[in-house]
Amino acid sequence: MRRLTCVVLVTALAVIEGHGQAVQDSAPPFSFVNVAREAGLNAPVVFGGATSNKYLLETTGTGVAFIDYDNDGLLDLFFVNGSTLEGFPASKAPTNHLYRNKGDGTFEDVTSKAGLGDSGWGQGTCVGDVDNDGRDDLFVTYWGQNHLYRNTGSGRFEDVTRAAGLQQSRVRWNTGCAFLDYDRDGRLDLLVANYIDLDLATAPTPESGLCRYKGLQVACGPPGLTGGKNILYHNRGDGTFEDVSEKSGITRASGTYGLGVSTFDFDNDGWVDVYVANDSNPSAVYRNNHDGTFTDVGVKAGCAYSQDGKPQAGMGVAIGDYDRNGTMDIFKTNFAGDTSTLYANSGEGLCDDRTFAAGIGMNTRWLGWGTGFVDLDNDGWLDLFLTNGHVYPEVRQLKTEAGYAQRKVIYRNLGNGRFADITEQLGAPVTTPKAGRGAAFGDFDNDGQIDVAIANVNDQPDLFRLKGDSRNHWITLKLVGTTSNRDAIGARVHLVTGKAEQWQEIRGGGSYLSQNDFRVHFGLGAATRVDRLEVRWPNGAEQSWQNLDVDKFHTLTEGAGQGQTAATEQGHNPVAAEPKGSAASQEARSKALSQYLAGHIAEAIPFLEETLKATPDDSQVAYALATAYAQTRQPDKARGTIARAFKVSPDSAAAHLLTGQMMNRLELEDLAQAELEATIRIDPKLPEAHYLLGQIAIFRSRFDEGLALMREELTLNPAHAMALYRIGDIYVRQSKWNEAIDALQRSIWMNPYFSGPYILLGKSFSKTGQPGQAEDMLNQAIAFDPNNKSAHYLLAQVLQQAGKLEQAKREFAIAERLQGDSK
Amino acid sequence: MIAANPSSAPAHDRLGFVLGKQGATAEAIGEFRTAVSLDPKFADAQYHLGATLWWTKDIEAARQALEAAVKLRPTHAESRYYLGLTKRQQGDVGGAIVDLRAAVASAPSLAVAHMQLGVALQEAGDIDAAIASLERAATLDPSRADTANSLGLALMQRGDAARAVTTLRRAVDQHPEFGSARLNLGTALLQTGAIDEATAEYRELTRREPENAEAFYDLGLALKQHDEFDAAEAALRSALRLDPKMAEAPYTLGVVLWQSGRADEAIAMFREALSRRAEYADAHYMLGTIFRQRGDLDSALAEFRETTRINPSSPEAFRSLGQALAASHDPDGASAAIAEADRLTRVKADSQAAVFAVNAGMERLRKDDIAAAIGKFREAIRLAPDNPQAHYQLSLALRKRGARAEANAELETARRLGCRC
Repeated sequence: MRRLTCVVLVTALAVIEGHGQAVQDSAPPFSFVNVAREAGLNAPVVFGGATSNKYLLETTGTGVAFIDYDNDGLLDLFFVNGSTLEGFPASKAPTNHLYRNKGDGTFEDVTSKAGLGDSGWGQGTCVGDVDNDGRDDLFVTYWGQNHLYRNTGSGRFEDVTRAAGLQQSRVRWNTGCAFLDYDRDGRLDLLVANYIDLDLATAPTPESGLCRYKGLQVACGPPGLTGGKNILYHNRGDGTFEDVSEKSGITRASGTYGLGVSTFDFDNDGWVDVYVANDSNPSAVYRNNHDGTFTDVGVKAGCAYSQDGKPQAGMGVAIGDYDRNGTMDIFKTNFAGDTSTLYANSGEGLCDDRTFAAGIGMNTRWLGWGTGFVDLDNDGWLDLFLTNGHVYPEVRQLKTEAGYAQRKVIYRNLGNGRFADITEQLGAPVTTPKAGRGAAFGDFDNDGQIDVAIANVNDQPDLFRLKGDSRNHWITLKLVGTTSNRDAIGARVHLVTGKAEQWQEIRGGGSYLSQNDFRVHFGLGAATRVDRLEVRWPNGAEQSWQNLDVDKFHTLTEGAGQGQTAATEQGHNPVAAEPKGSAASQEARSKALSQYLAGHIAEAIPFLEETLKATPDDSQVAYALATAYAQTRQPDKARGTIARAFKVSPDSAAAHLLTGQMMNRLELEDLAQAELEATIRIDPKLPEAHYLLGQIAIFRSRFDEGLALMREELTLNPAHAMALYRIGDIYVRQSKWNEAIDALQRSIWMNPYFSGPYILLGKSFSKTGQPGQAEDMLNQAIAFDPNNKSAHYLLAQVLQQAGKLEQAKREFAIAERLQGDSK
Repeated sequence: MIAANPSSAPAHDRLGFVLGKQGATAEAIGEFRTAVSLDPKFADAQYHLGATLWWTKDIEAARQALEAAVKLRPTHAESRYYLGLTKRQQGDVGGAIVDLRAAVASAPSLAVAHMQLGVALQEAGDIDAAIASLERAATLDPSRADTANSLGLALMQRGDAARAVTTLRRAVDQHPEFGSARLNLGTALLQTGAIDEATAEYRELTRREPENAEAFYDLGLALKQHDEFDAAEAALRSALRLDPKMAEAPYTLGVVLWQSGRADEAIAMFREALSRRAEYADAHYMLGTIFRQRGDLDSALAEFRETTRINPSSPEAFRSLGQALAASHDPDGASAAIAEADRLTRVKADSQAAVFAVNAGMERLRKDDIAAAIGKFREAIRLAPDNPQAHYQLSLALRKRGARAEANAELETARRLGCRC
């Protein structure tokens, strides 16, 4: 008989037990806010067909780089862009984008000014000061000719590809890249991964019927197509590079189909090695032989395959010492139906696959791309951030739960070798499905929290600003090489606070086709001082520092500061930092905030006003003051304060919307309504206003009005899951079950991770004589929200009607218990 | 009537028919035997005897009677039909197809004959023809859930999971008690990635048939794909309890336990799988993997060796064997095993590349670019010398070029390799 095979079972699953479970239950001490739109990062990444792809070329998406191109201490952003098979007229082709960080939470698109507006099938990007002139240069990979852009220092870049000898004689599919000084001559060399030798004229297409995914015809490859060969360019030091791919041994790897690239010191010998995540093939660890050559030891070292010996579809790579034993571990993202892979570095030239043991193996549904080891809560333990999205847009036709757009996955490091998946607890924007690809990690607002920039396919990018736990301390280091390469790529940093030790590196490349901030960030937990810091520079020299201040940025220069306290540098803190000021103003601030937090709102207002006057950029005080005005029913003053904080006009639609949102959160519905109505009057097309106003109408039982407003919101944003949910809610109240089912199912389609629609669908199915479906929906709701008493109660009723009396009894008991708990 | 004329074959045949309708099967058979002994050329009696014997599962005797009936009346659809069923049950699928084709030729509206023909064609590997027959059967008699079930299976085999879902759902909606159809529906849903729906179907089936081990097994697999490992374990435990012969259930449970970090329990399950099926290569492989992780190299080697003996085409088994040999300080053995792993990997990759090359060649041939087409086909043959399509397509291209002798040689090679061309 056609018994289902166990092929799919090779991967997945691990139970999180005991301590892990306990941590999972408590709310994480940090959250993300997607500030991309407010920041002005609006140019979408165009990449292939939106609903179907003919070639794999259209699926890989692009990378993103953090780069401080103007040396103002603020991280700027560079997004690579792609193309479509149909192409574009010359003037309308999508271009790469460079966004300059203005320091106020917004970015300016300076692409044209900078001369970086090239087009084509862009893939990845990496950053490095190629000529050691103190200005970071950019390299962009393509299916086609790569480009090296030299930073001229006047806000412009110059395309020096040809002059540098980086022209390619044929079309190659270049992907991940990394600058690295592999021969320790102080100059950055360049490694470029290659994916497939793709010739569109001869490549098979989905119509051939040869390539299927769950029955769908999809783009073919990589298996069956000729793999590309990775490239190594040696920097001659005169502005030119030499292709040393063959003689360095880079082309002699166990596998092919290279994608994500990161440098790291695998064997802790002070010489930079490289990890390349390969798709459908064993991944590569290029160990530096110290003589200008590399050997791929990935298979031998156990860093190439899954735990049961199978090649995986490797995409992105993160390097970090997650277990704090002084060795650099590897994390790789893989295909759907497979787990990600966590290799712990034994320190003896071997990888120990810890995927299941660390609790990583619990997720198989997501298809991973950009990833990073990041200390999200600054507790001193590296967490994991994964960006996901399916390869094939055709999967939208399938009723899979993962879908094409997928949520992120965040694993919190429990400090005991295990991780906990805390994604659901974080909620939006982490749980908002997107077709994500490249991701870069860096502190763009210099507040000591690591933020994430994400390139999405056929969508605008995201910028997740991390709002972290202010109780934990941190330190960020900028390393400047002098005899070593200026970016200090390859440097290793060892930090000691009390009995705790951490290790980090400066790396080229990383994640998926992307480049992270070169500055090294350490979370310090409760430590208020860094006792000792040791740096091993890329050329082998070692230095140390002692007694460094925390919650600060420090610049460490090679050869300077031996045994001394490092020069400190206060970075810009445009959004949420502690302001400078006199002791008196600090005292006034403390008093103002204490009054406010103690609930003495009216009394706090004058102190808050005084504090904000003295330090206008203090966003915490601004927020408190705006809230205080709102709570004392002074909407104009509230709006004025909000407008100043967000740098918008107080009469603008945005100001009214922000104020309306605040009033709504404070349950001041009449004031919220007035603000939202004003928003719509000024700008009827501003998203969210209709939704919020509709919500108020529903709460006041004005259902027809609520329905009209939700529908209006959907004309502006058809993917608004909550608007669809609210429409379903109205229909349920009106007993219009079929209409309710339609709206709620579409809500789940947009956001499958919220329990509300499932509960209402359960009720609707129950009312329309579909008990099986009702039961499934309610079980799903409970899976997302186990403490939802309505879900348990409704399920009990459904089970009772279906004659499943024992199960019904259990559910009633749970519902009653939860009812009692909530009293 | 018989009392009046005891030598009347028609009378005995008629009596047998009446007795059969009354459920007195043995007596009916006796009467039919009497009829044919009185008149061996009595086609109806031979048919009645054969059909009744088929119903009583006396297949060999049924075949003899039915062959006699068909010899007497070759175009009798029902005789052909039952003879076809009989031959299929005896493993003579080719013969069954001949008779069933004759049945539908004689009685084009005999839905059940189309259905059985479809099933036989499916067994013979001619999926497209099977689907055509089954679709015809379904059109003639849409109420037959077994037709829809068989059609669904055939569609799944062809990779048309979406249509399989529609077909099987119809069968299940019409006959909610039809367990096989619901089980197959679940499989089809899994193939389309509709894990939630598949799980719902399996759950319903386990509710209706709480002793159905297969249903619990499939439910366990679906839950596992959904990352619901606790529920998957529970379902798989039910499966292995309900069917002591099913080796897949303990194997799959073993994998779940291994991935949950419960290696000791996993080992027990893999051993249980092997007690149910000694030649279960995957179970040996998983045991080897766990032993190697634990550093028990001797046990690991034994298991990997057994895996490669049972399944000599598994690259990962050879690779793992090689790694274990290397760890056991047997560099020569390790090299040999790794070399074999690499060879098998290359064969697989080359085989896939050959498929693409054939496809590219056929594109060129359609555009009359003969030289390029020949180049692609030769490339495919270089990559996979035993690919029959590559040789066949090359023969077509060579013939177009006028190289008849070489074309014939390639065609001969293609046929030798199994091409039905």
